[in-house]
Amino acid sequence: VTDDLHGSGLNEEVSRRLQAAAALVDPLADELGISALRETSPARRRLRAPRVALVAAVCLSLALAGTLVGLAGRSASPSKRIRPASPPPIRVDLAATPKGWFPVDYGDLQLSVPGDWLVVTSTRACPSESVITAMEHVAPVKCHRGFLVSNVPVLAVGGAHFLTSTRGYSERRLMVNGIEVVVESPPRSGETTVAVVPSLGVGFEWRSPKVTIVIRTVTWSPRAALLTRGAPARTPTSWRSTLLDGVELSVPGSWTRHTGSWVPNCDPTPFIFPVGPRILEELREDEKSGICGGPGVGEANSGLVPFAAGPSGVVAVEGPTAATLVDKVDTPLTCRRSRSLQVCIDPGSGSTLLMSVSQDGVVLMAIELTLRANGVVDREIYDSIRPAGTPAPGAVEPKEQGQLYLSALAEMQRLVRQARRAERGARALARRPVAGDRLRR
Amino acid sequence: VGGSGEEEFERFFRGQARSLMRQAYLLTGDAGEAQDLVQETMIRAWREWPRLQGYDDPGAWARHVLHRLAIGRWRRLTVRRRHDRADLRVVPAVDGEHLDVLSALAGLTMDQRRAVVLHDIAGLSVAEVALDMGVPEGTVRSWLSRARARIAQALEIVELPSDGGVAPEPGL
Repeated sequence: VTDDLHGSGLNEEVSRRLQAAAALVDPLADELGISALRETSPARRRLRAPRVALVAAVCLSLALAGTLVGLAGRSASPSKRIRPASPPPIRVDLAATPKGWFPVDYGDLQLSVPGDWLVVTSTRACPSESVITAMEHVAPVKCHRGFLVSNVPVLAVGGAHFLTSTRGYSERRLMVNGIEVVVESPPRSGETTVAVVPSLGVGFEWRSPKVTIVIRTVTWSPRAALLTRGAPARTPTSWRSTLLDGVELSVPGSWTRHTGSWVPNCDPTPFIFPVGPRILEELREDEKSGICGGPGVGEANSGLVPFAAGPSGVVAVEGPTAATLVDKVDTPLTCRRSRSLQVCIDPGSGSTLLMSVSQDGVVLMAIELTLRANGVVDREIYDSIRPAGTPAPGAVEPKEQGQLYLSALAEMQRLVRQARRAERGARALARRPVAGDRLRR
Repeated sequence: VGGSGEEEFERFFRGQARSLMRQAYLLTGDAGEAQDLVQETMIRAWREWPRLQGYDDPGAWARHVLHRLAIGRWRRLTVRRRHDRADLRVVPAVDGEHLDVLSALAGLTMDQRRAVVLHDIAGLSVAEVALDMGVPEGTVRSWLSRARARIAQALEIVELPSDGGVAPEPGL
């Protein structure tokens, strides 16, 4: 044994491996915020203590009032829909995407890749389903014995292709952001490592060690959040409604509506985006799919298209084109009814949601919704799709809002009085000597 | 803590966070736990900063606190593991070799693991590790030697007989 045990090659190699493993948490160290530490200064905590108590009391009151408003609203008008008090169990963890990276969705799963990677969808490579491939350079992809192979891609994400058993691989189960991931390591170096998320039916494989950090970014996709069961999301009051040939939906007030022909020789199409026309023009020049619709519609059919090209927004395709677009929604993932309308979701797996809106068995239009962030805005848009002329979910008249507020306030005051009475009673009990004390005296 | 003290603490924080995080991760094998341990260490350092400022090496103090916290956590876990699923761990990045490293470390005693982390990650010499852990140098050498042998075996690292170089076996 040498002095510092660095003399032998074996020791150096062990040391190198340990340092390499430890270095993988460097990004987590960078995430630690110094501002949070400063908040824990004892002096500041003392100063903050009464404020914290006050804030906690106010929050408690507001939560109580909110619940009461909900209860009051439900009892006053059964048609009013209130946002559920408890959050849905599926939440997109936005913090799972490191700064400078961008999220990639596949079905209910989301993972993130560095911002300078090119991510493409391809249905040509594996015809039975689309596969997302992340690569550092553009290269053709092909299927080989059920696995995606290519000379350049460093990561591939897919469904059934990756769920086949891998003979000879060692299996480990991990919990990443609340999702169980099974990592199957190859018996020999140089082979592909496979990770499967059994609960979501999604798998991914990689060869490059550069990809290993990607697994830490696994979380639910906005699509999973959108499709979570629960009461319809209440449309925010700042949103505005837009009419699309017998169908109405609500979008954030800042979003603007345009109508135009996205692709030459196609019918004009309404599209609603949180971006200006100039950006849309630039996107139009990049659009190569040649399929009628808006930006992103038909994206999955276009072979090799940058995955993150489409902006947030809604594209609605009306008339006969709509029926051709949603032909494949024969076996929808899910359908919901909104009065006379039926809204069905295409089972596709990307970060856009293609829906068919039909009435009496006739397709009125196809709506494509680009899924972004935590899916909350998307869910609110999706839930707001309704027959023209009907109110948005959870719309509350101003007058009624005032009444609910007053009744909630009265209920809150009553509970405060009740709590004070209970506190007085408890104090009186504490002052009264117990039987044992009296006997001893 | 005054204005200049805050700046100094910030420099200390930036200078130590990565090293402490690496040590905590290899001690616990869990990235989430490691982050918590480093955060807790830094909170304590911030509270004690007026005193720590006068130390020659506040980093040594932080390292000592971090290791104490990790040992406390390890003792609690030893009891809890009887009931919990021990195979579910939060890891920041995964490939076969990375998990093998974590598994090999998990198979060491806490003293062996600490010695390896202090020597290979914190960069202390054997004498400094011995001083830090309060044991004779010979004991540290013995711990390091056994720990390395176990890690090498787990990672299938073999020493080539010709020039003493190391080549990983296929299958890592």
